Amino acid sequence: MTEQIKNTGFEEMTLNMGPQHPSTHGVLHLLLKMDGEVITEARPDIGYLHRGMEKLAEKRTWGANIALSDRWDYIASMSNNFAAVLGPEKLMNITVPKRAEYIRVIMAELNRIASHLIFFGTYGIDIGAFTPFFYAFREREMILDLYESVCGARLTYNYFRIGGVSADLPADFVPGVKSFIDYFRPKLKEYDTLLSTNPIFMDRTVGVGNISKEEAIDWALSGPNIRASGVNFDIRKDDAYSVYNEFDFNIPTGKNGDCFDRYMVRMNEMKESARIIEQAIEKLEPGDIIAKVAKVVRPPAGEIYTHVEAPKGELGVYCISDGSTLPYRYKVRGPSFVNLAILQKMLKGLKIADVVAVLGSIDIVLGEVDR
Amino acid sequence: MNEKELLAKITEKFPAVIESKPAAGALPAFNLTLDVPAASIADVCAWLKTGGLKFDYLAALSGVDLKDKLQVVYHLYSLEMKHKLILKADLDRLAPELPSVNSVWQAANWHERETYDMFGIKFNGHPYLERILTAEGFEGYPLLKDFIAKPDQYD
Repeated sequence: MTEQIKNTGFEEMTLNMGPQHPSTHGVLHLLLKMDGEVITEARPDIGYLHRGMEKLAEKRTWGANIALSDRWDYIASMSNNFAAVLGPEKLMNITVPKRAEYIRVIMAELNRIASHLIFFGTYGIDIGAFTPFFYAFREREMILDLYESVCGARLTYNYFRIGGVSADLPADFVPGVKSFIDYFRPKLKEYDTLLSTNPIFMDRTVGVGNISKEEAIDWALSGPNIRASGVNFDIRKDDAYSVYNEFDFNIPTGKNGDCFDRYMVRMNEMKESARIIEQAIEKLEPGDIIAKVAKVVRPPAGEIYTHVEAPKGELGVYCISDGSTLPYRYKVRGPSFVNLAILQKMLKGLKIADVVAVLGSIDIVLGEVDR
Repeated sequence: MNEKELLAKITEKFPAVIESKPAAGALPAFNLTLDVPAASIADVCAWLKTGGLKFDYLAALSGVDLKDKLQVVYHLYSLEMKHKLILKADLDRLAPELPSVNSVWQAANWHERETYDMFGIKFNGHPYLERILTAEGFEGYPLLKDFIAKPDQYD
């Protein structure tokens, strides 16, 4: 309690934010202790969306877990699928056909754009700008249409299979992606004029919620959050999986680790994703889309930790197999769960009005936080 | 630094730490995996971070129920030196407790709370070891293999 509180007789106030609040992007409860406008203690209270994914996984076959993975980070299900198949594939030493690898990369990178578009739209709303939301969802809709043409689903794709993917691309998919990229590139400039250089937006985000390099590593942040703090850590480069080592792309990083840098890193990442998609399309050649794998897989006993660079950060799956059709242990390391933990430290000392700006900039999905 | 050099450096400092052997008939480990006595896990981790090997990034911390014992598994990287390491600490199933590594990596804060929530493993020295994901008033530790789910009002 500060001197002012003692002298004036004002008390410290406890404020409940959420679990229903538009800016929490789901059900998140923040317990804030306030000294006037300044936060003295923040405690995120999670678990409202807990479905016991890891327990459910132990009762489902390795293949069925791909469908379950769609529900972790439900706006980037392709990346979740990716993480769910890598473990059993490595345990069983399966070589995925080249065509399937490129298809996977195209899907994952399109999903990164879709996920960052949601961030762009909702972060605008968090700060008070409504227009970006409609722009972002217009473009995201095109990606969802492309996904629908491939796998029939718009949100929970269940598209990856152990050893490949479930269906080949329809004839109009590649032209569709090409025209989407051509359409999307100029839009990125439009977003910059719309929001990135908007003085009100910059006032709210530049220099707000700084995370230093050391803090980011100490709290094991990943994805755009750690890169905005100047740490060049991207699993696609540092521990390349699938065929990511074949592509030429940059890792955008920030300097100050504030809300604006986290925003900018995501905007720049969309450009790089578009580059990767173009290169992957060039490399697509006719061929198998799935390796010869038994319908019911039984990975040999053993354990492995595999991770992918999901839009939110490092999505890791720690699989332990006992040689049966069901996983013995299936731990999911969701990036949002780890990234959200730093909030209790970041909010301390900030003003109440900045909570939404900081929370939005971390870009969490509660489905993955609570699992 | 390759895995052999890493292993030699760590076992020189901590003779009680040994390379983990996979179970009979299981695949060999994909990354260097070490068995660490549970009581010394915090000391080993503190040295791994500051003692020249620079394991500065705690990627994941998981509990595992092996039926005859519980286990906590630490997945570590070094962002600077780009090496990986897996630590395993075995725990008594009836009284599972070990020192917290929250003071080494802040990232352990929620990981340890989650592991406590799911397995009932106590992390001594954790600043706020409360249940994190399960609902208020939840009984039992759901990821234990002998956990029996009680039907609730929705079942």
